[in-house]
This record gives sequence, C-alpha cells and structure tokens, in this order.
Amino acid sequence: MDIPYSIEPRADTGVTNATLGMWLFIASEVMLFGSLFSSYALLRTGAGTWPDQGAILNVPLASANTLVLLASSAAMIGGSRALTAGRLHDFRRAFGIVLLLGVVFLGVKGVEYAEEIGRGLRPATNNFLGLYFTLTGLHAAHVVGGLIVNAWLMATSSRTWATGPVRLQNRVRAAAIYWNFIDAIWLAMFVTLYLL
Amino acid sequence: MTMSGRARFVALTRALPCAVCFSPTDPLVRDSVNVGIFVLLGVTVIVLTGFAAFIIRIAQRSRMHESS
Repeated sequence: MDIPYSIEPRADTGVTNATLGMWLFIASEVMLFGSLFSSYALLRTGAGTWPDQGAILNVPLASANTLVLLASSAAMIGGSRALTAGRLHDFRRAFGIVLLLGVVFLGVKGVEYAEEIGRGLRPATNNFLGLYFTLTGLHAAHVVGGLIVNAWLMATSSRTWATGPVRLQNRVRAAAIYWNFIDAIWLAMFVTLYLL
Repeated sequence: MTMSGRARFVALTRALPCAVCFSPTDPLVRDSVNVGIFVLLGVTVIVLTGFAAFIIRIAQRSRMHESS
C-alpha cells in the first residue's frame, strides 16, 4: 500500500503529507528548543552574577561557523531549486556542498569544545556552561541527523530520480525545511549564547 | 491505624507550598521564574498560532475544494 499524498499535494492542506509531517515535527522541535531557551532566561535573570559570555567563548570562531551554516542553507535552497527545475547534476553538486559545509561546521564546533574543555570550562563549571553545552550539543546532534538524511538523499538520488522524480523533489523540499530550521535555531543560539 | 500513625499520615500528606514560587523572601528567584514562564509562553503562543493559522487554512481550502 502506498502512503497517500506522498507525490501530489492534498487538496485541502495544499502540501504533500511528507511536508505536513515535517512542519509538525518542526513544531515539536520549536517546543524542545523553546523550553531550553526558557531555562536560560530563568537561570540568567535569577543569577546574582553571570559570566561574560563573549569573553569565555570563542566568538570569532563561532561567527565563522555561523557563516558556514548560512552558506550551507543557501546551497540547500539552491539544490532544491535546481531539482525542481529538473537539473539533477546541479542538485547533486549543491548537496555535496551542503554535506561538506555541515561536516566543517561540526569540525569547528569540535575544535571549539576541545579548546573550552582544555581551559577547564565544563558543563559542571557553572549554569551558563551547562546550558551552553546542552543547547549546542543538542543542535550538533540535529546537524548530524540532517547530514545522515542529506547523505542518503544524495546517495539514492539517481535511482529515485529515475523511478519518481517528483517524489525526490518532495523529499528534498522537506529536508530543506529541516536544514533551514536548524540554521534558524543556530542563529538564535549564536545571539543568545555568544553575543548577549 | 493507631493515633500516632494517623498523625504521621496527616503530617506527611499536608500540602506545602513550593519554596521557589511562593517564597516571599526572594523576589529575584520569583522574578526569574516569571521570566522563564513568559519566554516559554511566548514560544507556545507562536506554535499554537501557527497551528490555528494552518487549521483555518485547511478549512478555507476545503470549502473552496467542495464548491469547485
């Protein structure tokens, strides 16, 4: 039995079931990250003293990493548009860039963690670092999940394109929604944890 | 149940206020809890507004689909 409305959009929702499911998933993710941002607001406003975030974290490195993630989002949108226009080769090239930039982002994050832990900054050091490692760690886990899905989409793209091009376009569109959400969450995190 | 056992049961089940939310001595903690609640309420309102807009959109499209 085929899943209904996986290729053509439902008349009432105007989207495919995959896209609808992705938006529902994003809503649950917003609540997950929202609860952590709420904890941050609670702990920061309730703390007698709060560390100078910009001084203990590596802001230039995180800024560069933000640009890396923004570039990967741009490549994701480009890849999705190329596929919608029927250009499979351009899609694969764009997705290659997305995967590369995603791995670079995780690598830079790993370097940042190593440097912080090397300076004795651990999750148990204070409330800010506890929240910092929880939020950024959860975000990194989401990036890993996105990379796995994107790699699978890219690896199977030739076969899926041959058997059902619209199905591949819909899958990539749903993956792009997720990847852009991850990017938006990072921007909120970057401002909250590094700049405020 | 003996008298002392009943007294202990009553003592154990007595409702005590949460020391964080109802503490009159520490306004900083109370204010910070309020900020946390409002941030989470803001996130919840945004998500629920999205759901409401989507449900309204479905109803409108469904009516359009039926009329056509």
